[in-house]
Amino acid sequence: MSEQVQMDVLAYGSRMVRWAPLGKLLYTFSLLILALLSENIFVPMITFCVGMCLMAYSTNFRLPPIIGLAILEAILIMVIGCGMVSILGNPSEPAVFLKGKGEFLWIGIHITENSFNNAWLIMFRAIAGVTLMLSFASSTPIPHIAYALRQLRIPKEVIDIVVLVYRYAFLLLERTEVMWNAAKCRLGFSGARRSMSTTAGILVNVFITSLEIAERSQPALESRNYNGSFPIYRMPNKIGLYWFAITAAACASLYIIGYYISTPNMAAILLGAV
Amino acid sequence: MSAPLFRTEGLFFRYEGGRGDALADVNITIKEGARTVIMGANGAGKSTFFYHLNGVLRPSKGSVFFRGEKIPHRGKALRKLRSEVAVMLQDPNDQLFAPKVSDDIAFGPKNLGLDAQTVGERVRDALYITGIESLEGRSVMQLSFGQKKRVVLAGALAMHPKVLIMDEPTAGLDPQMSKELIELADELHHLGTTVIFSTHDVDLSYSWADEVHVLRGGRNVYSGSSERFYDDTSEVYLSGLVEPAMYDINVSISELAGCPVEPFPKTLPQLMAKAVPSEGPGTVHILPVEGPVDRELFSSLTSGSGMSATGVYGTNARKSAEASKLPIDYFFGADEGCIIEALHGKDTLICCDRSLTDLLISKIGSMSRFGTEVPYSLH
Amino acid sequence: MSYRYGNSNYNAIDSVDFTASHGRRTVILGENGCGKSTLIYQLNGVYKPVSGTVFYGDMPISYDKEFLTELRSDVSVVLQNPDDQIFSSTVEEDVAFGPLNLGLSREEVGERIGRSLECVGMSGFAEVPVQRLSYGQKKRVSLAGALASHPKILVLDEPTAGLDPQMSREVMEIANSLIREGISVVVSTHDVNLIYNWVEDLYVMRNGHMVFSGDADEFFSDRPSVYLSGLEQPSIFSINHNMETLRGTIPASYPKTMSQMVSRLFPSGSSAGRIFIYQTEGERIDQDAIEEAVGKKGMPIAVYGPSARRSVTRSKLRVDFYFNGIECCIREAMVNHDSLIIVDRGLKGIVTEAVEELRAYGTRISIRELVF
Repeated sequence: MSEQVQMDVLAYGSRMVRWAPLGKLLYTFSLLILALLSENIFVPMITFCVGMCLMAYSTNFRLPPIIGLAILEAILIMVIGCGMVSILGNPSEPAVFLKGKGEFLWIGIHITENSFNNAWLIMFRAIAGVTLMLSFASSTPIPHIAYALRQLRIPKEVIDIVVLVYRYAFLLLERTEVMWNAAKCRLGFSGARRSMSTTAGILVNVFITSLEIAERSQPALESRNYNGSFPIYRMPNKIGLYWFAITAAACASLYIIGYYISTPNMAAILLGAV
Repeated sequence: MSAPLFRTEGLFFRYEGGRGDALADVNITIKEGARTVIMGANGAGKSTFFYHLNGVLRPSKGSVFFRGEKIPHRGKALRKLRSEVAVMLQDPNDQLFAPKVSDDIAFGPKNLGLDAQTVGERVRDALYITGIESLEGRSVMQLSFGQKKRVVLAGALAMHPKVLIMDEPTAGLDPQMSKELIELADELHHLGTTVIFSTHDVDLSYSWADEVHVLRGGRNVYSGSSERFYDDTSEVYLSGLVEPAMYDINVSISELAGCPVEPFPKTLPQLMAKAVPSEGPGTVHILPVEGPVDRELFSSLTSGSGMSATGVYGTNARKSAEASKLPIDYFFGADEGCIIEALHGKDTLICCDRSLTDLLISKIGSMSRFGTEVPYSLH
Repeated sequence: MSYRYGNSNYNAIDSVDFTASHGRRTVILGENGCGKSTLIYQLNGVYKPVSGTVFYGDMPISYDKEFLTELRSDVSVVLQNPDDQIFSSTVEEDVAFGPLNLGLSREEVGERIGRSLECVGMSGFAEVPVQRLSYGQKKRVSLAGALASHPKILVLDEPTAGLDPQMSREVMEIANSLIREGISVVVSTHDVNLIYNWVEDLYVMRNGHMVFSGDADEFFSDRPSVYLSGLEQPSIFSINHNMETLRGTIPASYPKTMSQMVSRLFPSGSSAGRIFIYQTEGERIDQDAIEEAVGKKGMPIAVYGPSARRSVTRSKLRVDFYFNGIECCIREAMVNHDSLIIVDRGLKGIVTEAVEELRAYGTRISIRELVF
């Protein structure tokens, strides 16, 4: 099963699934924006912790291995990226670590106080973003997201398309997997050229299948009195005032922290630089 | 007949992210030349099991052996395995990758690296055996469900497999198409390709299988002859199956008539013979065919007092009869139909592939086990 | 409320006359591609005939939105492939689809969802995402969706395709309980064995034409016609026909079930076995009380009907014949064993009818109803 399916199953089982989707969206987005704007490393650090807590709560401390793997992948990429940032310091500033001691491939390592601190800032911003967005995604099934979008006055046709694509994406994904296996049975992947042409054949088949599904769904929808939009029976909760209150409180406290508490100098703390 | 073709030892399998084992401690031996059917309800693990037989899936624990050797999972050995073990899935739409019928059938042989001429020959042979020559240049998308199934079968046969595995071959097919497919399976099996299929159609498996293996929730709960399985009604129910009609009737009739349950009739003619012994059965005349049917001989046999019905058995005989436009009553199911007519005291004529005559004779001969000797005459 | 219909429609079907009558069990039989689905879509106005008319009741169908909406809530179609008609993400959303489109109140919709899911045995699955369901479960959900619009006519396209034998029987049991509630059911299929014992009005299609309408036994007696239509004779029909011919007697009157056929071959006269009937509405059952009332312990127990199944699950009763309950009890009686059948309150008639029909084949079984 693909990650998409896993995520969806996770969302429906989440403890936070009943919370108002717009509320969750408001909260996580606001925190995210603050984390991205602030120059103080504490802000994204705290936001990251909030994200982690939300995720832990949402999944009840049980993260499916595939999602965990995806997160670890993302973190690895970020570590590499931030590592690059830290070693590409401004040559006009003094190096505080590994002075003149070497090169990484063809790049000279020049770690300055600024570049190091910057790297940490970016790192925290990135993982804060990942955990916040994941906590939202892992607790909000796509139909709820669609509902939230509708409340934001996005045209319902767009939303209906999203819902339908989502529904049928599973089906097509499943079919693709079966087709893949069937092709293996007939040695479709023996060699690079054959693999490419087999893959092309599968993609064409999937495309045609989706067309056929579309054709068959038309009379099926009519038979059930489809009148142009998909009604929702169990409405997710509407956003309440308390969401605004909580968000405002969270943003305010973060802002105060960012303003009054001076940003930690990671270079000083970790590298003993002055 | 008793050399093991496939053998699994402590086979366990769990899908990634799946809850529970899809296959748990499966120990199944499939013998070469035995008509084998894997039975079970939907979700019991039949397809998963098949995927292990051609290396698409790797056991989580345990091993699978083909002809005594462990199943490979990469390289040349795997390719060789897949050219010898062909698997046909349930939905033909999942297995058609090329726009034209002939292109799709050529998919397998081409992937085997054969030259263009051999590929062309194999495609033609496959089209012939499955009876779809008329569909050669057609676009795959335009075909009906039954036609697509035949294209998929042709594609599998074009690889010249030693084993043909079919997952729910008759699912979605209407009654006649089902009969045609099973008759073809019979023919292939008799001519040397071991045929294994899975189904939950109990009547089909009861009449066809020499050996059944029943899967329930990923476990193998029974291996052996069909009739012994249905003795245990609670096991049948737990496995999501029901008793076949033939079995049911035999048990009921035997109970009421006070005669022993054995031998177990598997087909209608056998049931009839057991229940109502025939006085003076008719004769089944067999005309072996290799190439075009001898029209003169055919006419001489069917004219006059003779035959109440004619039939064909085997692809070649069928094609020849069609080409010669002979009047045939049983294009399919001739074996059963003509034997039934014989039980009614009538004579019939079957044009039969030469290579299948012994199979036909053994079917006729089996009637004596049930109390009626049906005479036949080979021309 | 009957349907009358003579029409032709592009290349798919031609000059088809078809009537589905109120409260009757109608079957459209034919091989794949003969036009059954096209005909079905004519019945709820999705396809419009090129020539000819479709009548619903006495009125010809008009193709305006108002009429069609009402028609489609009266005539529900369940397609062969559930994935073709399940559009929503969770079970309850999909069942709600029809009623919500009819503009019903949320309360009413909720009630209907509950009842439909109960009818198909999927209560408790309301908030499950659809992609987690097995094929059989999806089929049941699509049936629940069709029932939620409270139809007067239910059209089932290949209702048992792809289902294993037990599920198939359950689906037909549900169909029977719907008939008892006054809903007309039309089944389109190529499975002759499925419908042989069930059908009242048979229609056979071949290559877009209606080639037969009337009594099932009449159709199946014409072997060449059955053959040409791509079908086969039901196994019971074929066995009966051949056996009787061998014995030199005529095949009529045609037994439709195994027990009828066996009884015909070996009539037991008055059987010593009795069938005890216990009617339930889904409540718990006290096994000891029953055994006391019957005066016997360890009798085989059968179950028939959705409420009966619920009772049995609740009471954790040991059931011997979970499927095909009525047949099994009759068979037990024929070999002089007693048995008990737990049945829905409204479905007792099916049991008594089956026993009554058996008299014609030479076996009389006595029924005792357990009343508490």
